[in-house]
Amino acid sequence: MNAIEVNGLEKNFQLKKKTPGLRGSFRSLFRPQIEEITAVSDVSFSLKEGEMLAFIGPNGAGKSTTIKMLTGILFPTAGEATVLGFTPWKERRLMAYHIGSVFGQKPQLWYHLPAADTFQLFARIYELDDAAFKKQRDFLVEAFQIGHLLHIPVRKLSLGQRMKCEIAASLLHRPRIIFLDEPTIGLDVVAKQQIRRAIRALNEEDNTTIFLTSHDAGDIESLCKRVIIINHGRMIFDNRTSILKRQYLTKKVIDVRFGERLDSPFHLPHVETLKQGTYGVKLEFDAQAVSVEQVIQQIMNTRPFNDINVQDPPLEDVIREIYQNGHEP
Amino acid sequence: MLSTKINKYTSMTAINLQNQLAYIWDTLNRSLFILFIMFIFVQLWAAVYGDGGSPDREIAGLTFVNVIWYLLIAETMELGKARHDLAISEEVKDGSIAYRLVRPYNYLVYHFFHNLGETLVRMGLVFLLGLPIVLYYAGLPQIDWWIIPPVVLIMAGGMLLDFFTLSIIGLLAFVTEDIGSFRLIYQKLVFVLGGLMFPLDFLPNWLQGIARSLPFQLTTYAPARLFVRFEWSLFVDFLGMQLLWLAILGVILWLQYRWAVQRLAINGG
Amino acid sequence: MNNLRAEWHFIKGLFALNLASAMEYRASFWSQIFGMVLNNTIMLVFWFFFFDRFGAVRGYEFPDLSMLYGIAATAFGLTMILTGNIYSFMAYIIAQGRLDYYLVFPRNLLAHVIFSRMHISPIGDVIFGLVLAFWFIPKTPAAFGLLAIGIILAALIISAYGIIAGSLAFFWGNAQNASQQMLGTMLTFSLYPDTLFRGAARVLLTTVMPAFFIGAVPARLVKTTEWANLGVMVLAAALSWIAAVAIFYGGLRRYESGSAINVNS
Repeated sequence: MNAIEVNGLEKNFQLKKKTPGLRGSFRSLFRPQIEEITAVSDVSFSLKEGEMLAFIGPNGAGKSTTIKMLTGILFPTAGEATVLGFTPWKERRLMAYHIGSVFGQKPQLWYHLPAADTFQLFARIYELDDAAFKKQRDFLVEAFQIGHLLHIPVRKLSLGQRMKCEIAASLLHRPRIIFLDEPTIGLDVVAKQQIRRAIRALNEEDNTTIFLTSHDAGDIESLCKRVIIINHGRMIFDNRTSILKRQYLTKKVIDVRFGERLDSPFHLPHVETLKQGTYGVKLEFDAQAVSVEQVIQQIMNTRPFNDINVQDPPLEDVIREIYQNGHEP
Repeated sequence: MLSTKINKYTSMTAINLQNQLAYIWDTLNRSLFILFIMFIFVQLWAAVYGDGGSPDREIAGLTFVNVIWYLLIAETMELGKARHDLAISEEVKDGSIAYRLVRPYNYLVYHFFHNLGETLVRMGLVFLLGLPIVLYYAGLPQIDWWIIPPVVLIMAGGMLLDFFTLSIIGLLAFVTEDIGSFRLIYQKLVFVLGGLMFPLDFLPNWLQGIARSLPFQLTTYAPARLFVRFEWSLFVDFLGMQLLWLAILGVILWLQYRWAVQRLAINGG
Repeated sequence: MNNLRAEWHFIKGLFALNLASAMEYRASFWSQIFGMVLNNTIMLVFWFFFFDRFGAVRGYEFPDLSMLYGIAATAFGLTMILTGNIYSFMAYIIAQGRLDYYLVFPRNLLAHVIFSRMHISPIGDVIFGLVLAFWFIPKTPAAFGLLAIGIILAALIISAYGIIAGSLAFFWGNAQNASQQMLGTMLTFSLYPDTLFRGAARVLLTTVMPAFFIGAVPARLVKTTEWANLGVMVLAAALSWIAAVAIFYGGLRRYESGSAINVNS
């Protein structure tokens, strides 16, 4: 059975337009100009139970709007969707017992209280019996390593600690699907890795379906085998992550700061020097022609460095490339 | 020299005035209260005056029209008030008062002029919003127009007095965490002893005597009462009382302010 | 039945958490309660001198007004304590897209929203109101029974009105000020004798803004034990809740979750 089935989903918003200035304010007061904006249009896909999907796109592309329709928060303008056999906006409450959601920027934990208190409330919300609740809680405490954080008021936790507790809270009822909207935004590397590991464990243990949006290519690569890219509300890519990587995420950019002055032009084989300063360089290379490891090894061989930073090309570049290659979704 | 000094302060008024105009909808919304409360007052006093006698009937020397206009002026004075005591107490609590004090202007004068813009806009709005109801139910105020300048003078004196009182309350934040209760007590004393809910003339004699010797009546009752029934003797009384209380509160405020500045200089905020 | 029990179990948990959360910032707890009591006392002092001077006004004397005031203050205090989100927060939650939080849970949405905040300071209103009502109530069992029923019905009407006011945010967007204004205005009107208002005002204050049912009608019910008044109040409470539920869930279809702001235009 498919966990998610989406067919021609569409969402429009009405936006009041205001021309700047006092006169504009007056005019919009009496005769508001309403503009209809399409946030999502003609989105169709299906997701098997146990699959891990990355749903990505630039800001304002329609990712969150899609997630909100699938979790029953928004009514769609047109189209159909079923999640675990339920129509989200019609059978919201029935469905809610079986799905979990984490919105990176909208906390669910009570700010002034320890996370353990919110966990208790969630147990009541989802009507969990005591044994099942405790078992799952212990599993999550272990997976996210949050045992020492549970009894501290949430406002005193760091962002990473808080997010681990947030995700754990939304998994207490053992949902069959979890929607994660930017779960690692603003977190440090260690916290990101802990979260990724825990999500993977969950998927292996419970066969939980994962629906993830993220700006972090690391999240996507380490978790999801499949990627959907959405731009201006439309799907422009739906395929395996390995294909996306092979075709579009091939370029890597490296920033290096050396411990000593650079006197001659910096050059490495298969690597293009984008920029060169007195102490640092910015390099670009094709990861299919030469591996990241090899490049770093080469750099290390030239002279000692203080700092090195490997980046993927920004999503915007990938999207531009997809369009240029005439890729059809 | 003096003119640049004054310019400095008037520009503070102007800035806050513009700020208020930018939030005009918000201010308007908050001022809507006057519409409802004046409507209620009109019904209440119509019942008091109308049920048992002629419309020109006087109670304690005041007619129905007098009372309604009185309440409009009193509410205008009250609802126009800014809340600079809160601003002061916030600045004391977060320590930013230390930076304000070293700026090239007097801290209290700064607050006064900063307030003035906001107060004037709000008073104007409250008055204009209440006016249609008052005109519809009570008509014109039946006054001589030459009384406006002396009434405005008493209004200004009342505003200054209120500013002194609220400044004292705000600076209390050096001593106590929460000044909210002090402000509340002051505000509530104005309700009855300041004549906000009805003219002091309606109170029993013993209480009237007490109220008339206290400063609370000088911000709301004094200008409102003078406006509806002007008497020179009353004007002189109010003016004298205002000067007396301005002197008393002024000394207290000055001592308190000096103490605060010294304390800041020693403790560094 | 099972369903109801689960809902009750959940709301109890919510209350416990609310209380714990409110205790976390109790810094100004006592001064707030003090403020409420002072506020009420002053208004009553005004009414005392008012009736002292003018005697009866349109059928109201000081004890009548005290009963009205006591009931309205208690009912308003109760709604603020138990359903703290209805006063201005609800419109904020809707306009800012905070309803998302509640929508992903398998619980009754409206109940979850209104019970999710608790104010502690209105305890001052409740204590003051009850003392006042007990002082002037006819000392008969029927009167005490009707007082309890009257307060509960008044509280139900206030919360329904609060839900309607808050739901305006579905239609107007930023309706926080307006919704607060609506509730505040109703409360203001409810604290004056109903006999002051005539004609259109009377109709408005029993329908669109049912202020009479918060103080005047229950006070009369307690004083005269007229059962017709009870029937009217039950009807008013039922109708306002039907309207509240209809408007809230009708508005929900238009809920935008704050998304319109984020969409590139």
